Amino acid sequence: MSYLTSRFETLVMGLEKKLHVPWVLSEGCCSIEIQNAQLATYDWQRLGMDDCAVEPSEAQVLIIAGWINSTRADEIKEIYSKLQKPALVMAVGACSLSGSPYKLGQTKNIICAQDIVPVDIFIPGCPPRPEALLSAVLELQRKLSPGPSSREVLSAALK
Amino acid sequence: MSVVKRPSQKAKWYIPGILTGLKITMKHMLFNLTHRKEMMTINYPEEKYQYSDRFKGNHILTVKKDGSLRCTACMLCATYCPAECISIIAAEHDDPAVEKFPISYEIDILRCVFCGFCEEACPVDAIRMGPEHQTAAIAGERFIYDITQLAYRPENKGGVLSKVDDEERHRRGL
Amino acid sequence: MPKVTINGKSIDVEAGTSVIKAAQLLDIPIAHYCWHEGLSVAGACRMCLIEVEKNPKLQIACNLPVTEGMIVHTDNEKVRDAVKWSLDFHLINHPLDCPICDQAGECKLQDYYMNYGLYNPEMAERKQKKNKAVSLGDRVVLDQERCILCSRCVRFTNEVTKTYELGIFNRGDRSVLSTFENRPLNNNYSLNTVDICPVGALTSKDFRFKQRVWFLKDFDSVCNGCSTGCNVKISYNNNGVFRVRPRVNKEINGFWMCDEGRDVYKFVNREYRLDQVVERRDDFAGASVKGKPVALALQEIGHKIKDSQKLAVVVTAQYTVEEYEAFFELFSGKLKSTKFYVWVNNEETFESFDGLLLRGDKNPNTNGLIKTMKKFGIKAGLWKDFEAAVVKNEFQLAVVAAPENQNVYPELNSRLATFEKLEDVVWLSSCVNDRFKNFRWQIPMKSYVEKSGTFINFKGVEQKIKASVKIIPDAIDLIQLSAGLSESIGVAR
Repeated sequence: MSYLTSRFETLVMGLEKKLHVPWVLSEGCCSIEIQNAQLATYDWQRLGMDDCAVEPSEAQVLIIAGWINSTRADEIKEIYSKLQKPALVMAVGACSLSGSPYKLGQTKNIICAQDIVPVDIFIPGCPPRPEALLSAVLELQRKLSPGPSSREVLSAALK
Repeated sequence: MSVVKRPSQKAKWYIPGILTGLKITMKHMLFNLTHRKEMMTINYPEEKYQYSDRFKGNHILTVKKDGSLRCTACMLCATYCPAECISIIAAEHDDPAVEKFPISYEIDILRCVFCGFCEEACPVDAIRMGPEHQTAAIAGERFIYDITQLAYRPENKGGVLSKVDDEERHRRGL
Repeated sequence: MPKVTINGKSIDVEAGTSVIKAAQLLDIPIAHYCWHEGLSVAGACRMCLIEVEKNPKLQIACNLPVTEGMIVHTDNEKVRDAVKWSLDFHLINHPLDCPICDQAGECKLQDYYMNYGLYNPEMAERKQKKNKAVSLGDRVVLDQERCILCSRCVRFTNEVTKTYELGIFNRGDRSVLSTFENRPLNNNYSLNTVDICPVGALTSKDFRFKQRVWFLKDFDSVCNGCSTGCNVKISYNNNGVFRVRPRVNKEINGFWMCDEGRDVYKFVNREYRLDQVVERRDDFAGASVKGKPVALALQEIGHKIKDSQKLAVVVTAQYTVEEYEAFFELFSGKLKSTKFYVWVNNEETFESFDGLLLRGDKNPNTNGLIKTMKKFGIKAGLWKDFEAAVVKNEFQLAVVAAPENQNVYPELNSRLATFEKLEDVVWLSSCVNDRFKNFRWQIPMKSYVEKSGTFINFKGVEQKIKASVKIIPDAIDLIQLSAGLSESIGVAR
């Protein structure tokens, strides 16, 4: 049953072209979890997140993970300006959200993601589990198209 | 950069290569279609991975039997916290047996690194790391969890009971 | 001069000195609860046990006078074992509620347990239950379970304040510390009992549960509350200043300080402070404009002073000597102003003294002000001269070095009316008050914890204070003010 609904939504999304292309900017342990969410075990393509883009101009979603220093802040701003509009930003993990693991280690010039670009989805955790990333993708879908998703419609119909 | 690719003899043998790849793909597809129970992918919102009981998820503040907070506001968790994400304001309780309690207990979830040190430092089992994984949230929601969120959120079903009981300790004369 | 050898170190001390004092001179720590240098000897806690050679039994160091050729050991196996058992007996009825005890972190029971104890308790009996959170007076709370009956607080009220409020009642393990009926602990030195309490039995109502002590840092300062100038330690962290405790200085305050002086930290915290320049504007229907940069404000004030012929300078004795020198150098030395007035508070009780520490002169630097004025040859008028001159409409502009501690100026609100009669007032103050909005300028000043300088107390002792905390970033002191003004007026530095 869950298999059915899941496949159905992927099919619908593929037909409607609702897949989002991400540009992943990640360092450190969050990148491992992001890879985990991309790969077969969690497979976020089912939920509407496409494979990573080759160029920032192809992407709609910017995923920021890992510590941000001033050099990297400039890089992020540049990439954000190149994204397809409307651009969405997901900030992953404590480093990019508050810099706390690094601020404590006497590293003073750590910048928060929300100070440089408008962040749409916050994913706390150190690092967040793949489930948190997947729920973030679902939140993102809900934000873009409010109302019941095709998955919810189908599962209600099957009941 | 310009690279000149010369046609080689080997490149003509690409068709068997494609067929080999397709064979592997088809093998996995057929296997997955016939053995759906053994499939690797977890269909996340419907199926969930079972983490162990020791999983460090969102924090829970435990309660006493009468439903009030177990926390005595000793601030050992705030002292021990490496991310400095816990802030507590203590106040004097009317009951002299309780004496001190937190009027505000806030965890900045964006700073928290889910290390579980607060749970270890707590002398009265007042804070635990719960089973829920970290929850993503859209911008504009509250990221500083207060007492209502930490102790009495719907997942806790009216509060999780603490293991350490003051009345029990007093009866044993400790 | 008998010679004593403690742990192999020798020292000559005066006859009659106790061993614990001799050890203190040699920097050898001896565990103790009941002994205090400022109080009489009680010998109640039995923690300061030492071994004297050729003496079969261990002796208590606090009550044992030094004799010629005495050889003392304080750190051998026998002594450590005895101290361990003393500590075990102290902890028999101790409730071990360190998580909610305010003393945790500076508690002698914790310290000595880590030094001498580290045992598992061998008591099988139940603990005695006594009263918790008993209010002894306006400022002190007692927890009878935590009390180890060292009787330091009882001796303090008997010997130092001579008010005899506290006593130890009942016998055996039912003994409790308490006050007599209808005689609460309300003397002006009651919080010293909290300081000398080695455990968490007596806690201050003001500081109770505000902060854990390990979040606080201490710095040394001088009390701003009166002209005695007690030496104090001020505890602070990022959230502000939390408490004031006495520092030992046998010439000035001994070991103690008064309760009034312990409230002196309150006006330096952010919520009571003026944090930016406030300017009254006539063109906006008398509304105030906030947040102008201090340098710009000083420039405008400088122009005003330059144009004005009718200038009065009013000073209070709450600033440091260095500040007065810079201030008078500008107004007396360079601007040749002659109209100086000293604002004296509490004129009726100015000379009073309570016999221990507290004086009626509530300014820390009255002598410093007098000395600096003598140096510049200034003959200042008093308040009544100023009032008379204002009535005669002699002044247009007044520069007022206002008090930073408003609480010791009870007549402040009635006297503001006099200033309101003037057209322009430059009000230099660190604190906020609704009435100040009628003044033309309010300049945020530094409080005594934020600036360095010298206070001269009633005896003429010069005491240095050091800038240790930064609470209001925009605040300036009189030195910076004088420098800024002289630049904008155009007089040479």
